Formats: sequence, C-alpha cells, structure tokens
Amino acid sequence: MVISNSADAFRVQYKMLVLTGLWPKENPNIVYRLRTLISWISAFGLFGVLLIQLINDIKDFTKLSETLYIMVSYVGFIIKLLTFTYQRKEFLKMIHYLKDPIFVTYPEDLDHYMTKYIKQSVLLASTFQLVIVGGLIFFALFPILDNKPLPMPLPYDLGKYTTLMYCLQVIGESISAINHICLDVMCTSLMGLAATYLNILSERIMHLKEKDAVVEDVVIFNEISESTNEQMRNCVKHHLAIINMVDSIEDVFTIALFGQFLTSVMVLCNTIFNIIVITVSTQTIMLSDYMVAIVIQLFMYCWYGNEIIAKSLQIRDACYMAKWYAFDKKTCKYLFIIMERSKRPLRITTMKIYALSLTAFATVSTFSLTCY
Amino acid sequence: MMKFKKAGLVADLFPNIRLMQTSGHFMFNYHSETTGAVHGLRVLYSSVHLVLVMAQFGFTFGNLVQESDDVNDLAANTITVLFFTHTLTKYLYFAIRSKLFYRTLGIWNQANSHPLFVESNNRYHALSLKKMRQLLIIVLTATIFSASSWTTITFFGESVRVRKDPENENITVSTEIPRLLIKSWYPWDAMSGLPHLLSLIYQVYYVFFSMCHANLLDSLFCSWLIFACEQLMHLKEILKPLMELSATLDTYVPKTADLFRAPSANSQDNLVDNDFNEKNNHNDDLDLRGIYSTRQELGAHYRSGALQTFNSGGGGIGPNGLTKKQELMVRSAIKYWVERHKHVVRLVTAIGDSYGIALLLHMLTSTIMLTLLAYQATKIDGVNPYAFSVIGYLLYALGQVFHFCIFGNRLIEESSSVMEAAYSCHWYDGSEEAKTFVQIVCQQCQKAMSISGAKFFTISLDLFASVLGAVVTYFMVLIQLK
Repeated sequence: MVISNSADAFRVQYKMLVLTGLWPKENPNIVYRLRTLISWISAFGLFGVLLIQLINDIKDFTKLSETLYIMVSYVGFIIKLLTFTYQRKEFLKMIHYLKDPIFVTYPEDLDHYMTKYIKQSVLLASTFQLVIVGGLIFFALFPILDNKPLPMPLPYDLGKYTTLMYCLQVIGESISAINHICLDVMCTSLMGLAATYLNILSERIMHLKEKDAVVEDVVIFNEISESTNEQMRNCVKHHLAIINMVDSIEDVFTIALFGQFLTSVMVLCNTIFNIIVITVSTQTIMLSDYMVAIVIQLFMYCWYGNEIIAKSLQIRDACYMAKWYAFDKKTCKYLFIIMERSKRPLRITTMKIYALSLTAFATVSTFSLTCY
Repeated sequence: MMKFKKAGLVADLFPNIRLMQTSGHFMFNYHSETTGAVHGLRVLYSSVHLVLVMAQFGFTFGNLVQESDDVNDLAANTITVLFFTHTLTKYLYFAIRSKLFYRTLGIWNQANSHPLFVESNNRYHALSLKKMRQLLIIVLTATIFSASSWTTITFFGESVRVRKDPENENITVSTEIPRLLIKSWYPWDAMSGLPHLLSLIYQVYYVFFSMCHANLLDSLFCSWLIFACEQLMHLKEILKPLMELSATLDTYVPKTADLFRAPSANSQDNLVDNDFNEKNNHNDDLDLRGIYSTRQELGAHYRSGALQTFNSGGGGIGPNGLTKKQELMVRSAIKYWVERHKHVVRLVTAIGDSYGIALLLHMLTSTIMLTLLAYQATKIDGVNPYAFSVIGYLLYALGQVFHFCIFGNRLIEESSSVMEAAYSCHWYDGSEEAKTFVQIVCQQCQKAMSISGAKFFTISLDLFASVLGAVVTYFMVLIQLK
C-alpha cells in the first residue's frame, strides 16, 4: 500500500485557485496573468462600489450598517488576498517542504489517518462551495424579488447601464466569494494536515518496539535498542519538521487571521443588527445565510487551531503510553526531551496576540454579542 | 581622583545616563571627578530642579482646589494633576531607590567569554547597542514633539473660564484667565506683561523637563530589556554550533565482532579510530541485523549501549589527545552557555527589583487618568483645541504603557523560545552529555522570564490590551449614558 500524497488534501482549492489565477505560480503565462488580474479587479472594484455607497450614507446609521456588513468582510478578504500575495514565496516554499521525505517515513499501517483526513478535507471544501453557490444565487436574485435596482446599491442613477452593472456585480461577487472561500479552506486544510501529522507521530511513538518480542539475550537487546534509538531519532526529526510546518503556516497566514478575527466581530455585530432592523424579505434570508457562513468560517479556523493544540499535547501522553519501562537509558532520554518539548503546545496565533482555539471562538462570539 | 571607566551596561547606556543627569535626576555616579565641591554642585543642581518641579506641581494642585466647583473643570484639572503626579513619582522614585539602579547598571561589568562564541557575542552586542540608540532617539523625539505641541495648542482657542452666572442659571459668564500651558494658581498676577512671560517660560520648562524625567527613566528600563533579549538571542544562536561540536565527539564506533561478544568492562581492544566513515564497513553486518531492525537506515551511527561504561566522566580514553581536548572544549562551551544564561536571569531579576514598584505606581495613575480621559472624550463635539488636547493626552498615556509593554512582551517571548531552540538544534546527533544539557535546559526554560509590577501583574501585551479594552468599554458605556 502506498502512502497517500498529502497534497491531495487541498487539491480542490488548488484547482479553483488556479482557475481564478490566485495560486502563486513560478512563471505564469499571459492567460494566467489575465485571470489573476480579473480576480484583483473584481475584488477592488466591488470594494470601490461599496466605499462610494458608504461615504454617501455616512450620516444615517441604519442605512450605513446595510453597506457596512458586506464591506467589512470585504476588507477582511482584501487583507487575506494582500497577505497571501505578499507571502506567496513563503507559501510555495511551505508547499514544497511538505513533499520532503521526512513526512512520509511513517509506517504504512498508520496511513489510514491520512486517508481519512484527506476525505474530510475534500468534503469540507466541496460543502463550503455549495453553500457559497447557494448564497450567490440569493445574491443574484434578491434585487429582483425586493424591487431594488442593484444588489450593491449605488447613490447614482445609472439608467441604461443598470443591467450591465448588475451583471458585473454578480460576476465580480462570485469570483471574489470563490477566492475568499478557497483561501480560507486552504489555510484550514493546511492546519488540519499538521494536526494529522501530529496524530500519526503520536501513534508512531506509542507503537515503538511493539513488533519485537521480549528478548533475554543482552546482545540482541542492544541491537534492538539501537534500532529503537534510530526510530526515535526519526520521530524527533518528524516532530521538528511538523514544528517547522506550523511555524511557516503561521508566518504566511497570521496577518490574514488577525484581519479575519477583527472583521468577524464587526460583521457579526452588524448582521445581527440588520436582521432585527430590516423588514422581513429575501434580503433577510440572505443576511441569515451570510451570518451562518461567517460563523462557520470563524469556527473552522478555531476548530483546526484547537486540533493542533490538542494533538501536540497528545504527544506527551503518547510518550508515556509507549513501553518506556523496557527501553534503555539512552532511549528514555529521547523520550524525556520529547516530552519536555510537548509540554508547550504548538499554536497558530493571530500576530502573536491571540491563539486560535475553541476558547477564542467563544470569546469572540460573546464579545460581538456584548458589542451589539 | 579616580578616572572613571565605562564598562558593561554603563558604557552602552551612557547617552541615556548623561541625559538623565542633565535633566536633573539624582544620579551622581558615573562622573570622572567626584570631589566634594563638584559633587555638591551636582546635588545643588538636582535639588533646584526638584524645588521648581514641586512648586509648579503645588500651584497646579492649588488651581484644582480653587476650581473644584465645576465638574468639567474638576475632571480636566484632575487629569493634569495625575499626569504630573506620574512624572513626579518617577523622579522621586529614582532619587529614593538609586542604589538598586546602580546595582542593575553594574551587573554586566564582568561577562564571561568563550573563544568559539566571541563573534556571535559581539554581533548581538552591537545589535542591542543600535536598538538602544534608536529607542533613545525615538523617545526624545516624541517628548520634544509632545512638549512643543502642548505649547502650540496653548495659543489656540480662548483662554477663558466659563461659569454659570450665580443670578441666572441659564447664562454662563466667562472670566479671563492667563494664557498658560497649565492652569495654575500663582501668588503673583500672571495676566499680562513680564510676569506672564516668566510664568510661560517657567511652565514650558516644567512641561518639558517633567516629560523628560519620566520618559528617560522608562527608556532606561526598556534598554535594559533590549539588552537582555539580545543576550537571549545570542544564546539561542550558539546552541546549534554547540551541538555540532559535541556531535564530532561521539565518534566511538565499535568493531563488528565485539557486538556479538559478551561485553566486559576490561576489553580495551575495541577502540577504533575517530573515523566517521567507519560505519560503511558495517554494511555487511546490516543483513545480519536486518532481522531485528524494521528499517534499513544506512549511515546509521551505532553506539552500543553496553559500551557506555567507557565514556564515563573524565575518563577520556581516547587513542589520541584530540578527543580529550574536544571533550573539554564541549564542556567549556556548555559551561559558558549555562553561566551566561544565569547571568541574564540575574540581570532580569535585578531589573524587576529596581523598576517593579515604579511600574505599579505608573499603572495605578494611568488607570485613573485613562478613566477620566474616557469621560472627557465623550464631551468632544468638534474639531477644536479641546478635542486635540484630549486625544493628545490619550495617545501619550497609551503610548507610555505600550512602550514598556512591548519590551516586556518581547522578553517573555524570547525567554520561552529558548526551549524551542534547544529542541530544534539537532540534539539527537550530540553526545550524551549534550543530551543531558538539553534536557535540563528544556526543563528550566519552560517558565518564561518576565518583569512584574511588584508581583501584581506581568508586563506584557496582554496588559496593554486589557488597558485599551477597559478604556474602550468605559467610553462606550459613558456614551450610552449621555
């Protein structure tokens, strides 16, 4: 059985991002550059439209919050886009690092964790895409049902250009939404990958020396302890590789995560306000759908961040669960040092201020409710 | 008359020290001449500053009492008084506890050194020096800018005092008050002419020098933290070469036949030369061992556990003296590392001892001041000097807190990342001694070194975030109450 390729975990996102031109390529051709340009224009164009509306509405808070809720998450998206583009070299280096042989030196019977995770990751990416498609359909349809000229209102009357603007807005919004989701799911699948590797590592440590029967002969004992030491060294190297990977994930995505947190709070506040204030209509349904999407988005990040923390602490337990009483002094020393390192969990932080975890999710939700 | 020599931290921080002495702090060491007359002159200089500063503080407080009938004026005056309480506290704190400061400044006078790590040490020392200078320049610029903007803002807007007419509640009567930086009660009439000019100059001097007192002391504290952080970075950097050095030590490769013989402590003919590539001769043996090992790792470094007894302590049984010298080198490197780390711990403890209470007092005054500022901020109704002064106060207070929180945070992060650096330095290739060293370092560096405000709270970005959060919350609540 061949060990599965970890890159499969994010192949859906890879395909989508290549389609919209955002995946950093070494030497892109003209068509690719064109696609990248279209993505950028749709992002900034829609942001400009929202900004115009915002400036126009700055006095009236009710109307302001209508524009604000989408605009704030646009700001989050643009922050993510900018940091992703700025860090593309780091990102490519990390993806390349994942192909390092140290990541695939685990025994084959532990591979089922990886296959399970890959399935889960692909499922998540596809589900999210469906949700977005649903949201986009609503977005395209609600002006017709609600009697509004454009999905994103403009203070100027465009006359015969209204239909054109309508189509442009729908197309631009779909491209931006796809990009946003792909970036999010990309980050979370990388985090999930790190958590899976940590899981595999703890299993590996737990099952050290399990194959070998109890030996009496001292000499053979020495042989076995040599091979055990060798395996321990590989475990340590694997551990270090995972630590490096988590560090590079944090380097690439930390500013984006910070933006995500800030905007989530504001959007949650705003959307709740809007749902209560605006009369029931198709727009309300769209708003609720939107709010659910935002909550799920934040939850995904916090869930995977929590997984990394939990799994990295699990390594310490795995060390204890191994048959350490039968190891010799040297191997025990390895275990000791690994346990010392694992006392401190691996975390992904938003610019070193806040670590992603389920506690963070709870705090952010309650904070946004208090703000409201 | 002893010629004073600058060493260690004093040499690094000399510009800061000189500036503090010029601004009137009670710092009397670190001069070349220490004769009675010159010393007396210096004491006199500082005392004059002290008297002037306290006099003006008294006048400001007098004004507070005088204007305590109106709530708005009371709030504004309390903020001013608290602002200058904080600077006066720092000034007096230094005067009272200067011994502790001298001790901290002198702690790094004798630093150990190791020939292998001199280059790294110098590099990080130079880096810390550069950062300290940059910090000093930034702090000075900020102080000068604040003082000058305060002076400028005085000349905008009306300098009047608004009060309700005692006869008619709805009409407000405005009385003229002198156009000065700080509203103070003076025993002389400072409305116009020469007294006004003199009072103005006095106040400009007061504002500038008070800010200098506080900010220079804060920057001294932060420079110490910068130094400690750079030392920790130096220690982290030399972990890898240390491990590599010890990896070349353990070149004891046993002969194949011995592994199948019952080991005895006296068989000295097992000694093989220090050739790393000896392992390639074991290729034929790998087939035999293949039944026991699940993985064929070529290039594996076999160190038989049973032969451990040969590498005990200073036994140093080596075929040539080179091994023993290397062993001593590794041991001295480890000693250097551990002693340097202990030195840094001593430095951080001394910093905490000398400055902890000052930080506590600072945070107390700042909290009250920021609460009142939040209240003042709710009364901003447009772009006028009032708005600018409130925002100026806010930014200055928050900036001061941010200033030491960010360096305290960096210290915490650097000291806790030593453990991670120890883990990631390829320790698995090192000798047993190196592994024990890593073991103990990991244990010890679990707990980060931090500066605490007299044990009440730790100085970190969390503190700053909570202060900022509290201000925002008060502001929101007060806005709602309006």
